[in-house]
Amino acid sequence: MDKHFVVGKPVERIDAYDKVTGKAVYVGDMKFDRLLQGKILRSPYAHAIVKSIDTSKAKALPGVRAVLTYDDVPHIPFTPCGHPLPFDSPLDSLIFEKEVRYVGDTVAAVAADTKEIAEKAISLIDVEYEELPFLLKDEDILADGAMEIHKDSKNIIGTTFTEYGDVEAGLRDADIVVEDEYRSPIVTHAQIEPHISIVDIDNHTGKLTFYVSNQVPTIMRERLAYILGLPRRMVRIVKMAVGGGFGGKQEPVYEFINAVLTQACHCPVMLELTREENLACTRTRPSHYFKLRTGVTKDGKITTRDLYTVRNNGAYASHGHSVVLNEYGQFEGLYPCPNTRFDGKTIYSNMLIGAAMRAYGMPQYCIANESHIDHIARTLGMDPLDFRLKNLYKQGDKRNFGNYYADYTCGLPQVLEEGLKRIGYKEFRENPPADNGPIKYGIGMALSTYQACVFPFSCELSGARLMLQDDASATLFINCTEIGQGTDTVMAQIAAETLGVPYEWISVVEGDTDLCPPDMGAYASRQTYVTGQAVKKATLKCKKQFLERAGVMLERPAEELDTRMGMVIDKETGEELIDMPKVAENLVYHLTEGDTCGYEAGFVPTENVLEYMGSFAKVAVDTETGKVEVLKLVTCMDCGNLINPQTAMGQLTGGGIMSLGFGTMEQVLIDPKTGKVLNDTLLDYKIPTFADVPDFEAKFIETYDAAGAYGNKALGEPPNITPAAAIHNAVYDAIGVNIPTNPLTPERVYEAIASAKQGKEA
Amino acid sequence: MQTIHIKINGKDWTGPVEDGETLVDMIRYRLGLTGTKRGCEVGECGACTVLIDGVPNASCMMLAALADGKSITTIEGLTNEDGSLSPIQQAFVDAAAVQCGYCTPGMILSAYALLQHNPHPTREEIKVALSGNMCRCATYEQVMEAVERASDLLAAAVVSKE
Repeated sequence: MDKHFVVGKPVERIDAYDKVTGKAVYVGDMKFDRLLQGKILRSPYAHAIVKSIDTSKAKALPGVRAVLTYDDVPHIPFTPCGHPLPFDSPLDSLIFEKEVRYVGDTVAAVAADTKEIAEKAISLIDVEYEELPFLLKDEDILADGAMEIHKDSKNIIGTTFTEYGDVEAGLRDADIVVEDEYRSPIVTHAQIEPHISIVDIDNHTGKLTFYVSNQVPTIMRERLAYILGLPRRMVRIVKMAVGGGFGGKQEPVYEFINAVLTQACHCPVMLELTREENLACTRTRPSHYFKLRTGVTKDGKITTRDLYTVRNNGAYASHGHSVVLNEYGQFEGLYPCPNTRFDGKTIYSNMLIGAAMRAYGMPQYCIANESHIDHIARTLGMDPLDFRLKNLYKQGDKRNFGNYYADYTCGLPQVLEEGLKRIGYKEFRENPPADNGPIKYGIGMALSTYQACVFPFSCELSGARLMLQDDASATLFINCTEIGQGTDTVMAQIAAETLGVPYEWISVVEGDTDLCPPDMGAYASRQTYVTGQAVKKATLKCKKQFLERAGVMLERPAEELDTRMGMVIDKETGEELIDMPKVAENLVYHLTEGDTCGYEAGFVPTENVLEYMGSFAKVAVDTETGKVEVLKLVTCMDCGNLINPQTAMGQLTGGGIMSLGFGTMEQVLIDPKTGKVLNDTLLDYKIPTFADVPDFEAKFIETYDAAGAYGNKALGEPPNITPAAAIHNAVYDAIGVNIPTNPLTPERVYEAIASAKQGKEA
Repeated sequence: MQTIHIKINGKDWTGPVEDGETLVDMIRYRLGLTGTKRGCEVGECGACTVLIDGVPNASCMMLAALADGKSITTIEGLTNEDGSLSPIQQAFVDAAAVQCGYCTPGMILSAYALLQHNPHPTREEIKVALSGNMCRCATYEQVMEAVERASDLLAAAVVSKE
């Protein structure tokens, strides 16, 4: 795609210098003359009534500036869910709760001169609790007459039931019906920067400024104003450098607590969570249960698919049922068939809160579904690849679920071809490696689709403003949130490409609701797809006025002119006519016609497209210890044209290794006797380190999709879907057991091998 | 409260520290060098890594008072006076070994220390040396590439000096 001169080039990240020199400013790095420290008093019980709170001793401690409880703050039921208006989750949350619903729920908070004093003050608050029974397991929560965690909810956050064709008849008429159950565990984002915010106040007007580590500034402004009972004009969100989001910072988590402390103390308050709070009291990818039934013909054609799923979301709805709806949208991404049924529900429990996490339901659905696909293939005596080839979506096929996706590009065949070649699938099948003592070898694959935004389900507005300077450089104002994935860089590239100037001529002002136009923010992998179009649209408006000025100077019609790398050129011949800075200077400083040249544009997509990806894994399993070694991992992905191949690769490999963590090591453990999180440190909650990085090849299959600003689709989340499932299927291939859960820890694999052996002997 | 003397990024510093004050808090709040990050406060994540007499250490695990007499290097100390980048920082930029950037200062200091005593590490040696620095963006592939690039840059610099 050489027609582009900035798009598609691995330009240096706009934030790279600041990040390698330590100059990038995260919330915790900000300096204030006086900054109080906040601390939250949390429930030690999974479910209890707060009978009384005595704060007198805490208040008497020198250095304590405020102690706030339920009685001191607004009681406006809200949903923190980081979705655009209108609210799409139950309004089930309060700043402080009188009925606490999980270990870690918010009871009170303190602001003090130092963290040490704040901690001491927390320990001096006397709370009398009345303990209540608590519910953790799906079957107990859904049992007839079960205690309601939220009044009148029946413990249900949301349900979905849709059927196409006739599923019962399809299952009856199928030659074979294969059934599987799968349960994924709770995992958490474990951002290296724990949740943190500072709230400052203008004591004349009462306006609050939130300095946040967050993914959705526009939504934060609306939602925090709502929670605090303030007009939105009284809230400004300033997003600082973000030390990792992954969905766990896609909503107000605790920012409203230092807001009320700031209001009480009339000076800024910081609230920095500890690592333990980050792991046990923020947000999770909660546990999902799947029951899959698939009817096939003897020759391997899928005729009927039936999915029942339950998402156990924890104490509050947060993102609620919409994660299940994302699985719903992708249900027929890969395997369309005539009879399909999706039955999903999201439920409450007395555990920490489920919300968004990178790829929104798809990592867990992918393992469940792709291991089920392998199970069907093995039941039929077919190779899993051949079975997939018989049933995979082909461009132009009809889908019932997800029938709203546009279908301009589909790189799925190339994803498969490239991935199979790189993993050596054919060679492995033709010459399977012999066991090496107790070591068995296996190979597996997993495929997936993912959307490019959430159209047509919720508001998808992005905004951008480009201000041309007097030297033809330009400043781009966006609330499309840079959280490490590289959007500032990519948006600057799109602006530069469109304006016709070098990348270095664009500077970016980002993440400030008083300066930048509304944008729904960083989620759903939407930014390059949606904000990219807004940036292009605003820039084209600037370019139009700029070329009109150039036309006046050159005494030629503007329609005959174009720009490229800082020069005005003849559109037909490419001849360079005049330096762009000269035109910009004339545009601004002309004695009688001087003008500004800055434009804003909003963009709302009216179509959604799909990315296609696949992972391929080769593993060695030690059957005596259960240890899984990933010998090689390959991921291939079609996300359209790449705006920046280097930052894109960071997402593809990084998301892949994060997925490896999901598949093989990560799990939040809950004590069934107390509901407490047992592993709230990074020693006990395992995330991948350098030591876990396998031989990993990642490859983009580039297509040029008509829906994106420059042929792009979307990227951030989907790399996090397929690797865990490919590893799962490779282990299944090695040991012949389809383990119905993750992570594949050594003890779990060992036990699966042992019980399979017992089963055979019995 | 006691007075300590340290060398911080090559410069002498003498000042008071509290008894329970950790080195990371002293570096961030007393010296204002906020490139050193706090991630867990118990030596698990590596975000607060600094060099103490050239050796990478989790600065959250050391009391400031115990740093008395030691030479400490933070990420700010690797950047040249004129703001230009050291070879290892440049290599991180070139390899795009930066995403959210929160682990980056600690990661760079561990990589710098590795190259000081092992100018041409293998991938396995890089993995071992950096395994105490967690990156949730999992930019591990790019960091390994950056360390290899820095190794080449440093070797080229040695050759050109000779």
